[in-house]
Amino acid sequence: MAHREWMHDPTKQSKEYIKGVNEFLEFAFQNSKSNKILCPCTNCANCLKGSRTSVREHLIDPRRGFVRGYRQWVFHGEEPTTSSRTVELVEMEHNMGGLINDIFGVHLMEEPTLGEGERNPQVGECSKFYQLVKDNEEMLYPNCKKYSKLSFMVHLYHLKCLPGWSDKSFSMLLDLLRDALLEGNILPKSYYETKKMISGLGLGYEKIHACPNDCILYRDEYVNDQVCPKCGTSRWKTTSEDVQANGMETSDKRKNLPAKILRWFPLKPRLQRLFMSSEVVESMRWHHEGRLNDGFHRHPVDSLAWKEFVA
Amino acid sequence: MSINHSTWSVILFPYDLPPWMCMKQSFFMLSLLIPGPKGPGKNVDVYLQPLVQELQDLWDNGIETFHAYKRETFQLRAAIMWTINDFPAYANLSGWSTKGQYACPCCGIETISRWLKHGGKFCHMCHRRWLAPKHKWRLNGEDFDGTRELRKPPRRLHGDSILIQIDECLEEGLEDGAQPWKKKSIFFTLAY
Repeated sequence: MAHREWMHDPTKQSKEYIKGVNEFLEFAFQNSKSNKILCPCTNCANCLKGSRTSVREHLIDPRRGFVRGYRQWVFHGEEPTTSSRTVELVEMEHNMGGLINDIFGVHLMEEPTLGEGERNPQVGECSKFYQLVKDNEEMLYPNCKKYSKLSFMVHLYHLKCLPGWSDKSFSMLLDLLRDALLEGNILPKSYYETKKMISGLGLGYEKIHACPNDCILYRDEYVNDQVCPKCGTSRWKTTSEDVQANGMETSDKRKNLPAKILRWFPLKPRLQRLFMSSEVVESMRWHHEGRLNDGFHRHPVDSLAWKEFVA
Repeated sequence: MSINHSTWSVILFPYDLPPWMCMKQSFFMLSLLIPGPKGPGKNVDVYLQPLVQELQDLWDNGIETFHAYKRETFQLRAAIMWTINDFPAYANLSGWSTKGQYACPCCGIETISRWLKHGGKFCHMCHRRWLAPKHKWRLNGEDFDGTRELRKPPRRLHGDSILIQIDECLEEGLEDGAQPWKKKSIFFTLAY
């Protein structure tokens, strides 16, 4: 669909404008069953109906014209294109191969022009990648057409997370499924193995130990400290017996358990992933391409600060 | 409802996405999970450190990213635009106390409040200052607290003057000994 620049004619008298109005009327009455349509002029604003002549008069009236922003004639039989995109998003799940490619930027390796820069995946990354590709190619059981090992486990894991199944119930379900599916299936043996497989997809989190009184995080210069330098509380979980026995230190009998853990989900890889995913990146460009730019302030994108930041 | 454990989360939204996707759950970016049993209160800055460090780096240096649409790499940069939170959390993030004598973050240190002796709490009656200079309610004492309101709205502070005010306030407190600024927020360490 063209951008319909003619709709912005301020005089409402130019040739293109009148031609456009005629086209509009043609289009609207093709899709209309009665001999009246909703009038899209600034006064009626698609609320009042009018006959062909009256709508035409309204539209070529210099004081009226089309109501602002009515680029898609949704009230006159045109399909809305942009806002239906949310529906597509729901259905983009099954394409696992594309997903893996997006994650590891395989298209980079196919294009030698980009060279051997630092973007080439490290050795560890590579092995992870090939493991995932292998999982994706393996069939769930002999002659299974619908699911690969990877896609099935991703779906199952999703199910586990949404209603909050316990780890144990997940392992038990796996046992049952392994028993029930055809001979030769390759389901993972436990929840632990599933988790290891899924974590290959990336976007994990880091655990940072914290002082239980919110004084510091045990990172940078405090990485190896055992006691908070501000309030003197131990980094580890202590019981009253421990404190009596050897001050702030925990007893050596137990493994040290951190008293408080902050879970940090690093932002950078997530932002990178947004741009690397071929499905999302198109939407990321919408502010640039998809909407009309007429100098009105509709979204923070129109603000000066945003424009300066982009430039 | 009794609550004996509170976990706080910090969630980021990519504003590059079109509006109908930007606030959808699948595009939330969970950034921090701050464990309980108590909420972090004004010490939330401690936990924001990793995030703010990343944001600083993303502003100063950016990060090389592959663009799947143009099929080339580019330098990705990011800035935080604003925070979305409720009023009590506003105090934790900004450092300006949103309760007690100086509860109003718009009036700042010019907030007028009155202690209700028998109610045992503060009330804030200065809102007529924001009306137009000749508004009829300004002279109408009867329906309000019995006074005529002739003051202008409080001055709008700029970034620099706020910083100076915070420093002075953290050192000495206000004349009456109150301390509306509880801390210098970690967001002031960002370059913008």
